Amino acid sequence: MKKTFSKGGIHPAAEKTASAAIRLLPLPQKAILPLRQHIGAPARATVNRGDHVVRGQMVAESISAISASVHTPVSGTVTSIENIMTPWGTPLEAIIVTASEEEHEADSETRRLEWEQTLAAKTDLSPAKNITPEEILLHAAKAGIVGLGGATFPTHAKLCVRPENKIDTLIINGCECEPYLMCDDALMRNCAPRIVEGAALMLKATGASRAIIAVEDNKTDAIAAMSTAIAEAGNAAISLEVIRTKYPQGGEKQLIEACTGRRVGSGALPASVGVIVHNVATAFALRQAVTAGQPLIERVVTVSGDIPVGERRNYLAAIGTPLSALPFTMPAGNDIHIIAGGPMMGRGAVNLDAPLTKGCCGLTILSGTRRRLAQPCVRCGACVEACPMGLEPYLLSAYGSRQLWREAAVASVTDCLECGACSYSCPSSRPLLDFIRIAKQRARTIKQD
Amino acid sequence: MSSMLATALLLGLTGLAGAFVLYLTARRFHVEEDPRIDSIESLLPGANCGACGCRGCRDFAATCVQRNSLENLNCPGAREGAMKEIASILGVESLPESKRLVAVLRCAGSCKARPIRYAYDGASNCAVMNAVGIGSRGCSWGCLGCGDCTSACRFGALKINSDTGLPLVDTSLCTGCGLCVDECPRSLLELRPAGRRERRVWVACSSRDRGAVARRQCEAACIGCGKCAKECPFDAITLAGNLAYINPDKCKACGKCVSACPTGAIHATFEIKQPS
Repeated sequence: MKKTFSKGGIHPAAEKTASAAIRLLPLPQKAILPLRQHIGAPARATVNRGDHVVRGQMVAESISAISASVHTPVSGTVTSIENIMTPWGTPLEAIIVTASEEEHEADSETRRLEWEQTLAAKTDLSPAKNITPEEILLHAAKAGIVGLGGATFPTHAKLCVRPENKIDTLIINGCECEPYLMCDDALMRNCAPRIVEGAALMLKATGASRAIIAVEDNKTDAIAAMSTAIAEAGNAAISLEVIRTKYPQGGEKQLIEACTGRRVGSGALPASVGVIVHNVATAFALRQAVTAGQPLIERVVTVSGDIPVGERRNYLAAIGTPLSALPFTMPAGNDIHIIAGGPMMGRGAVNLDAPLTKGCCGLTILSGTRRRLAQPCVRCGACVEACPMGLEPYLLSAYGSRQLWREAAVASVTDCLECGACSYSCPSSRPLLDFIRIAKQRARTIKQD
Repeated sequence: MSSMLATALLLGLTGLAGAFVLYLTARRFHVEEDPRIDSIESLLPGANCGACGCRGCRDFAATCVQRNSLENLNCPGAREGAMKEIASILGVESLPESKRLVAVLRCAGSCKARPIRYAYDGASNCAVMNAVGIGSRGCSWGCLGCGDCTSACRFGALKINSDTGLPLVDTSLCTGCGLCVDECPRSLLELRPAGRRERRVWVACSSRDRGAVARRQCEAACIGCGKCAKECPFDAITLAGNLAYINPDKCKACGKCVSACPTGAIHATFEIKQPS
């Protein structure tokens, strides 16, 4: 029996039907670069309106320990710094860079060549040998790398291990348990050597003794590609762990338990049990930053869902590309759900003019009503069985709807990872997570007081 | 027969003994309470809304008696004249009744002005809707229409109007306690003085988007054009972040701004005479 986490979990249909090839999405003529694409303080713009910028140049710098700088994927002129709307409609300050025809063509050509080189190169761990941990952190900070699995925590801050925490294990998360999404899968199949190089750099930066690349067992091609790349690298510290497919296997605490058997306590960080978890795409981005000197200006995204099979694809898209540039045919009918991210943890997108940000793994387009009318709770306990954190979702949700924030805080609502397994498993279709999310936000503010 | 008698006697005696113990306990732990507390409490609305700053109506009454003055103590929910009666119970001079406040909605995005653009199938709750996005009507500032405020109101003064999809304040019931103000996740309700002869003017919009953007989202949006501020003879209107605000202390409810507003974002409780 392959390893997995012990409590809860569900098995939604994987629907991983997108083609594994990564296509280059054309660079946008106009890149919209939000100043806040990460957890933490917004970056501060370092350019002014009318300035000329070149591809890869920093346009906003990180101004606190938990923050990340932003770079432009296109050369051009800064046309404005203004408030734009996020995909879900809230205002957000962004820098807008407009490229001229010639610049656009030249950038597209360099980008194509760079990508071909990235695909062709063999595993080479020598850069990781000749670099100090401090240099790696500096590169990560300079390149504006954040956790690309969706949490967008600045990578340099996570790699910077506090002296009181001894890290012995680094886990590279290639689970991608979210249905429909395949961006990490595609990256592992196409760029496995780059990910292994990234893992080697992370090992060096954290001083961990082993790196485990964890992949769910439904990604057979990715497993094959990763094991070849690991064998090629010839570094005994890096190993592959094939784990059982179960949602949310990609959750940090769940993955740590599956790989090492250690349990991270309530409210504690993985570093407290000597582990650090990074996404495969983050490892890839770190390698690109350190070895190729490329800041985080593009990422792999999936477009999938109830659209023609031929259109379910993975793209290498520049950060700042409007979501509307991702090609898909809108399904017929009125009841269309466009979700930024996957169906379990993504957010409904109402504004497709919004840019692709660092944390956006793709677009899922669903048609038809999936959510039935909520019925009264029948006390069946399905949500309790499904919760991977061992919480009682029915109770937390009731606290949330009755505004009993203190009680919710006592019942460890802040441990919830918002995976949605409770809402998914509820036979009465109750919107459990909706209220738990509110309770979690309010309980956090209580704890701070 | 004798066993029945003995049982009745025994039970009766036990009861008597218990009653005596209770009597002694009540005497021993008797708390002398001012009868004025009860009489003041009977004049209060009993909603325990907390608008006075005390922990409920009983606490308010006790505080009045304890301080033996009405300085800084006022029940906004009390019926007219109740504060005077409380003053006479306490034997102090009644303070001039403070301005009555009522809640107004700073949004006019009715179903007509702001039709539903996105389907929302989550829980019917404003806080939830606000947490996941902008709501079904495409405005990130306006009313979400799920009625969190109506369930917060303890006086039944707020109801969702089925024609507009917005909450409607029944000013005859509103006490200005402010529970709805705290409840609204977008802070759309504001307490404003009821005004002389119930004449009130306010900006019924909270959108801080640029004019063109706001107008695209809602026909009744304030576009921050500033016409009202120019028109106002009392200098009561200020513009901040593409949104006009009428200072209730300076406003004389003349209604000039209402006719000046190109989008009809300024609401009044009275008929405006159109300039001929």
